[in-house]
Amino acid sequence: METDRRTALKLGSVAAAATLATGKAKAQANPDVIVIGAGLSGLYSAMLLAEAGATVQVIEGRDRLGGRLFSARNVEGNPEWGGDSILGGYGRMQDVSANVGIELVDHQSRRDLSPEAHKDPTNTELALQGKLIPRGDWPTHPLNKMPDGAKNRFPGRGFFQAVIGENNPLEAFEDWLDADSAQYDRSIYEVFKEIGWSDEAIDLNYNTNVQYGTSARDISSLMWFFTQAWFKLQGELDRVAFKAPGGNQSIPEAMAASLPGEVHLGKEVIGIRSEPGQAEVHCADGSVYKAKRVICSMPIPTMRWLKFDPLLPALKAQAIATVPVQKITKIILVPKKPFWEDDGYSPAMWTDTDCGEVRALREGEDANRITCLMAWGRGYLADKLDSYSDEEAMAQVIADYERIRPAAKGQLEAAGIKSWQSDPFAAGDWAVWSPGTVTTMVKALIDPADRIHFCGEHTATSNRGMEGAMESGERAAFEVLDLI
Amino acid sequence: MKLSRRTFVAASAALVASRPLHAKTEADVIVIGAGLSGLYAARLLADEGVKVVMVEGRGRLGGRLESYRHLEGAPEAGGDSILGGYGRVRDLADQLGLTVLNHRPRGRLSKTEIALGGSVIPRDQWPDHPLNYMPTESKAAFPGRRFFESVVAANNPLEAFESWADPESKKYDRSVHAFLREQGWSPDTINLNYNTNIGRGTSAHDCSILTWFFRIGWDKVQTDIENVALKVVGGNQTIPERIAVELPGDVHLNKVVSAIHQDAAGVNVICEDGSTFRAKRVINSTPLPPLRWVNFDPLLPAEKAAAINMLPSMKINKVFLTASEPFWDDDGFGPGMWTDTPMGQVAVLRQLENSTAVTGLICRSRGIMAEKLDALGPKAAQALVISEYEKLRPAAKGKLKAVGYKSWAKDRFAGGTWMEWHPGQVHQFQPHLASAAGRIHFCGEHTAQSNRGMEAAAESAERCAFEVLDVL
Repeated sequence: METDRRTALKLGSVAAAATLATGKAKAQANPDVIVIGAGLSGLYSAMLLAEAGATVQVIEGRDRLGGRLFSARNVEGNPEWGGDSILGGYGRMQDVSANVGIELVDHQSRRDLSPEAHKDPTNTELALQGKLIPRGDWPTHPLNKMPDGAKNRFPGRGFFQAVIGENNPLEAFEDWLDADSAQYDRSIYEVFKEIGWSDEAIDLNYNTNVQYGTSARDISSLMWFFTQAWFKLQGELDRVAFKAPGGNQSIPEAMAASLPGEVHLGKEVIGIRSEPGQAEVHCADGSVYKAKRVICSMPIPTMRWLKFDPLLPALKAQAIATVPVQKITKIILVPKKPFWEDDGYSPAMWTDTDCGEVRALREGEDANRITCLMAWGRGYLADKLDSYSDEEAMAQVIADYERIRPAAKGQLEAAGIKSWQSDPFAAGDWAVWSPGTVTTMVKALIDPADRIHFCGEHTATSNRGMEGAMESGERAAFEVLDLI
Repeated sequence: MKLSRRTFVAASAALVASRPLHAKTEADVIVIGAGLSGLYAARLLADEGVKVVMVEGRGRLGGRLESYRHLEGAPEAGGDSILGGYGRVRDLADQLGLTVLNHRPRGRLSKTEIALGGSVIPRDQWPDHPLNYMPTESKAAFPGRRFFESVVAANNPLEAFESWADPESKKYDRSVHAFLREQGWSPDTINLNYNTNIGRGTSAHDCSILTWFFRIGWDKVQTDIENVALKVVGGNQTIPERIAVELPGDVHLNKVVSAIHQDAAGVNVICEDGSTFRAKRVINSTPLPPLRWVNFDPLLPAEKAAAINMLPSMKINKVFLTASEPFWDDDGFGPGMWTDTPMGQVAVLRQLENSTAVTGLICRSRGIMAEKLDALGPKAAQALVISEYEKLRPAAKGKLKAVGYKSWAKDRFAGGTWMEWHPGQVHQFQPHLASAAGRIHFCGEHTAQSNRGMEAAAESAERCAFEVLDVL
């Protein structure tokens, strides 16, 4: 593999020199397509291309497969640091899993279970300003800032999504990218205010344990109209929550194994160059891959560190530079004993403290037994947890949990922490559409540039999450097949 | 530094016995944050006989003034230079009896190399180099901030920089990118001169050019008054430390504020360790990112809360290096470099009072490159910076050692360096930053009107202290 003078100048003469020493691809002819990233979207595009007879080389920056599918295999039942549930409408995910020999297991019934003391469908206790609020006290509690007529509702996601559903102007969620929908590309804050919510109600229901964005101000209502209707459809198609045995990461692993060639791990991409007839992908270790086309499945923040030669088109460069991603930091806590039997409350809690939203997971063989708790820190709380060392963050979360639940004192052990922001191959989680960006940036992220094509959940138009990744991989593969 | 007995007792008591203090401490004013603005506000109030209690989350004083005293000459991890027009800060340093040293001539002792695309580009080759995307008439100019600023200065529509927040200036509250395109710059030219070692924001798209119109007008006044870049001998952190020593009231360290609750008669400041302080008024000097973690009851007014939530902070990481020998004598290039790598811009440190010897190198990584270092974590970040330096300068191989590291974005009491403005945010949020919310008053550089940096902190403290004196 040789580099010409121009490439050496633009992407690094050291890189070019180091190339001579490596040369894994040296002996063989250049593939038709290089796929960057061995997560779901990259691997699925590679599978489709290979099936269609194209030669493909997948390269991955990490030393493992799966990207944002990452199973905590050191914990009983392999809880997920990343993509968690394969929902009813995840057709491609279910199909591909079957094709690569993975028998998915439905966890929905485990999610519906409540500890004996509590039969509430959300399975979750409420704790505000550091104190647990028994459900019976909630409707008249001084911190209850629910809108009128909803004082007895549990705050947060389930509630505001129902409200968005009642006010969703999109007839079909796929319409979100149509020109007519641009009028809704404004903040969800404005929508909540228009339907009469107070700032306190917005703060409680949206900003606490925020799901998309960092506050109601910086998220597009259009994104929510799409997402809410899409979520609803998932449940309507089939009320399931599938997981792969051994963890969802098994799916991309099996996908990679089904490919004709080997995925090259540890290949951190630093630049992509397009020229007439071919594209080059330059890696930090000095290796250079060449092909007719490149599919780049890298998440948005990590693309900011790449050198593109020539520069990407203006709007695309702007989209990559400015579209934010969700901040999520998760901590897994393993209980030494079922302390919740002592105080009679559920171990799952929705809080405004550093433990964020704590879910009780049942991942073991006994579908009734709680195997671990997972604390989710999102948005500004993720920023806060990220500013601690791992050990401090885990200690802080346990301390806040114990403060609310004295019965848990000494009963929780942290089994690990995952900050997606502190992962140099993700630098955050899913793409977030701030007001005004749906109409201007979604298409710009999808459009190919020279010989580079783009996939990844941030480029999906009809799905979110894992299925969004799959959809985008499919689209990118067909885009490339048309051209080679 | 010598702490006065009272300050020392309060500080060490907090360190040793951080058990919950359930008894409420009463004062006229609680000042949150013992950085320059908080301490200066406390000093001004104390001079007027007000009873002030200070609480500080960190185990040290100074906030974003942080001098790395374990290194020769105490180089600055935070606020670096006291400029000519910093009247309040210069006056304070004087009052406190501190010696300052002008570093500007020392900064000019070595020239900075340009390193792009993996190589150092000798200066004589720069004008014709294929990576030279300077505008046609400026091929020989050094790329980056100074060049960008000269173009902004030549096209600055603000007659007086203080008018930046006036309603008439609203038309300029748009992106640096849009402005530079109008100047005829290509995307490559913008990428080279703005996005590389970025001065503000993370790209030309997400920074308001209006903030630059202000900044550049203000910068000019600084040099017009006196062309100096002063530093306190022993480190700039000495300024806040000395203010604390002279304060009559207590400074409580390691008090992380988790909630601020107001009632009809006063304010309770509740800390993570369970202690509560009570006063008639609170001055909050906390930077914006950590303010997002504070529980306010009642909530702050909606527009103020939005400003706190949405205004970004500048990301800067610094890596301090020492060289075991002057390898730059071997390859003939200067040790300072302006690069497009995650190492960012490397400057030469000459910190000693009585000598211009090179005491070390400082690598400043900004914007998205700071994000990259943050994603890697401190250890891998320092290793990457050294390896990037060695790649560019084989003569440095094995001779560099990382001796200090600072990520301001990951500092949980700062969450970044100074506050930034996205296009369109200046006029939306500027009026709400300094406004009081009930009994809570706000200072800190993000609330300043007419200054930046340390002088902005001092300006805001003064405004805030007078605000509180009026209502006590």
